[in-house]
Amino acid sequence: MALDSPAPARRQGDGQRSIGQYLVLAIVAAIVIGPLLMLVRTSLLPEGRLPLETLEISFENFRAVLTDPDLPVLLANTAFYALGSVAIGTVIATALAWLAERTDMPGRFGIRLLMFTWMAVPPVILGFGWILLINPGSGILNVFWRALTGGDGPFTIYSIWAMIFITSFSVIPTAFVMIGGLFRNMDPQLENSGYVHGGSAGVVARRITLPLLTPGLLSVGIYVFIAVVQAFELPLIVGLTARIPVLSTRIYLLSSPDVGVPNYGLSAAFGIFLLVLATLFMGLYFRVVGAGERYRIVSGKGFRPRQTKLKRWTFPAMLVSGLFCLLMLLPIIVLLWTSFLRFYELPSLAALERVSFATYREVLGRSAVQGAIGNTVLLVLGASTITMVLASLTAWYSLRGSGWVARAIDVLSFSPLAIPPIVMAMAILLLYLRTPLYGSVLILIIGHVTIYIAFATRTIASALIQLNKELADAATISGAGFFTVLTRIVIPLIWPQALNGWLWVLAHSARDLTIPLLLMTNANAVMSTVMWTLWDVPNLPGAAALSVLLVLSLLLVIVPAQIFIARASAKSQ
Amino acid sequence: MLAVEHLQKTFPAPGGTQTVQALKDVSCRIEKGDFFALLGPSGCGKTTLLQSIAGLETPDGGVIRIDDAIVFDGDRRVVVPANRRRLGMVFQSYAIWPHMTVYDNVAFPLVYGRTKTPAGQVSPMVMQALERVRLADYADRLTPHLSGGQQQRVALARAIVHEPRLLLLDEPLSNLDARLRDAMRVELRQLVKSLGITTVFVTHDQVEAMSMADKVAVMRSGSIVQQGPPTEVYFRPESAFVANFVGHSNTIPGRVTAVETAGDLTIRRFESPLGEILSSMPSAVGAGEAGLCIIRPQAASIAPGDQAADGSNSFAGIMTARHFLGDTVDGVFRIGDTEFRLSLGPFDTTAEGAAVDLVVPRDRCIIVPAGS
Repeated sequence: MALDSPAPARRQGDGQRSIGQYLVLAIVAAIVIGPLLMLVRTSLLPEGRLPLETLEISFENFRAVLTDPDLPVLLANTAFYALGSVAIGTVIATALAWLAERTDMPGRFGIRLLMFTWMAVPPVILGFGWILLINPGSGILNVFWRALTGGDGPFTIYSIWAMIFITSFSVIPTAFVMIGGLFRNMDPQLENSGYVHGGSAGVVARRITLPLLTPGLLSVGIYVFIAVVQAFELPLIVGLTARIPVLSTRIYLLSSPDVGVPNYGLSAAFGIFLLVLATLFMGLYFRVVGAGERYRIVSGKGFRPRQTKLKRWTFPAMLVSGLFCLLMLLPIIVLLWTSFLRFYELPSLAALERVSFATYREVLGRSAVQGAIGNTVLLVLGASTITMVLASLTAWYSLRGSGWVARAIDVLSFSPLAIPPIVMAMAILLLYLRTPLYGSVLILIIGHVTIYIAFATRTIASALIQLNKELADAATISGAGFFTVLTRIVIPLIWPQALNGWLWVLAHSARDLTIPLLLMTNANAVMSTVMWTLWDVPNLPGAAALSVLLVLSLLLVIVPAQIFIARASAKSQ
Repeated sequence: MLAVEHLQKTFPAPGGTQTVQALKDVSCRIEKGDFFALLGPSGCGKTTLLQSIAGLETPDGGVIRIDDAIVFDGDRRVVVPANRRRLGMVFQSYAIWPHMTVYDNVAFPLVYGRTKTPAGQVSPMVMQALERVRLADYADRLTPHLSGGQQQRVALARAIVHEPRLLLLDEPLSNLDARLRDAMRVELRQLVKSLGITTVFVTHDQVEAMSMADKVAVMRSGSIVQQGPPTEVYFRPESAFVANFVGHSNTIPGRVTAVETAGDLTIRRFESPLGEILSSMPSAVGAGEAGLCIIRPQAASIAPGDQAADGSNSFAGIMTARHFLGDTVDGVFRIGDTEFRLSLGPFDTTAEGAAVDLVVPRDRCIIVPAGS
């Protein structure tokens, strides 16, 4: 038989595989390194020059950053803002996650549903809603307070505390999902052996449960901290009016000032400053995660965690967690109300008569909005699909590939995690400013692929790692080629995780304001930027109507897809 | 037929500077239709050898031949990929694809393999394979709901359905419970022998290797230290390692003082803490050399009274402990200062503290080189 002849052939598939490997490396390098090089070059520009105009190098921008009298304020604001949000957010998330995963509280499913679908809610919308709720003049809660007590309303949106408060609510779902995983994966035997050997509930919680969870909680805390330091949208909406500058908004203001010309060089220098900070924290994160590996508490699946019976605490627990959920939903409810009005007014019986779909009709009738909706669909589908395809290849080659190429792909695909979106947006702006791509939807897609590739690659990589290698080997032994193994075995087994990743990128791409705002022209407006523009006019009902439409359409995609995924993965287990 | 010649494989050690030599110049030959067991402790290289034969691992050097066709040749850089070697394999985890039915799992090699089976023949061949493993009624089941034993049989059906040139079994019984394992040992061997497929079987369990294989190769740190039929490996171990890995043994250090030949009988005199031991078994240890004397706990017996036996070795000992194990009694004796273990029948009544004579025939004492 011809196949058995000892022809000097290299292992079949090796050739094409290494070409694919280099191709993926080239693409990932281009989208990640290209903008960063541009950022560095711009930060080293002499004043008033544009990149590629000159070869001159100047450290003037960095000198300006480091001697800026505002720098201590910026750093202090950023640190206080991030620490405050993380502290409040993780404490509430831990409490909710414990109630939802480890107790018999009724309504646990509702909390989980809310947390898992929360990615449909853009942070921008939270900002809008809370401004309507607690601005000092006409904020709904303040008005109610006045009506009840006669005194001035105690709340104000325009303070760092309000910023921290709102941001902590926006990080609760992420922290909840991560911490919930920690609770779920903890082997109950570790706690049971504590009880068996005479420990009381308090002792077990203090000496066993908490120490086991500490590395995990710490890593969640640092992860959220990095996210908040990088956060741009809420500081933009709340912080600009309140004159509470943080690093991310400073970068934006320098590159897109309301008056005057953009100072790209200084903005880039601030960007690099923020990038270095974020990288340092990322290093810390990996150190902590490394420690978490030593505490590895994930034992095989299929065990049922110990459930605490709340007994007489059931009602108070329900009340408090219900209140938290209501607080999370409040801004959305307010926007819903606003969207049914032609002109914004406070909720009242009289106003109820003026409720109609008129604003929806008016907003949807605008050609700019129709264009933006088309662009948004293009953007989210393009970004999520391209990201997942690239992430699958990246994960595959970094796990199954060999040598320095695999490692380079791994590091490159991971590094965008440390790059704040606002910095990446700046860098992409600088790189493509004078190319035909600028002003197109394609540039937004490139931006989103770059900032979401790290998360998507991790999703696929963890699915591939969990996939027993023998499953693919068994197909190879049976005589199947590379593509048959991929299409018949690997993809059918990891598609739920891949679809989850796709959904995540899709939702985040639709939510994101950072990239579209920095790269916005008349031609490539999307839902989030139009919302922002309407809000700025101000056309509050218009912005509210678009917000509601965006959240609703995301929910319509996310909820059925997640139920489908949950059913499918339950079936094959 | 499978021939492995001078196979080498070195792994870079993760993190460290020392590399791990998983295979050191391994050679073996398996005749057509033979059931061949690779036996050894974990980390001895037996899995690497199996993976190299399968094509899932690429050795650094050597030659692998299946039915006279070269599938790997390190010097000539020939590597036939795993999916073209026409093999069947049962994995340790069974690797049953959870998203397919039993039927689809078994049909996979026929439908997607290199030699496509005509569509009309797939169904009869799959059903025949499933009947062989007595799972014909389960064809439409989804695999996650099968028991461990059923999953194992699905894996077996998938491995034989396309009549492979070679069947590779990677510790296929280790995930089953003890009773099922006993039953499957017999069933697996009967099935494979009735099909006449050449089989390579990796295990760390000497009972499996002894009871199932036509030929056993004992591996230790990357080398095959002994190979032969199970009885030969058991009765004539060439090293203390093999003696202790395949069954139990008393290992007594000492020195060969003389080699005497009388007719076709060669007797070695072995000086040991037990006294002089006479051995009539062939050995590589010459006069004046240090060695180890291997005596199986089953080889010795308690002599009735104090009558001298027919040239057998005889030692005076005291029973210091007896461990009742159900089917046997593990008797511990002291001969001089040396502890000696003897396997007794469950009905034996020797009491602790009793002085007895232990008798070992000369052909049950094996002398192997020291330090093995």
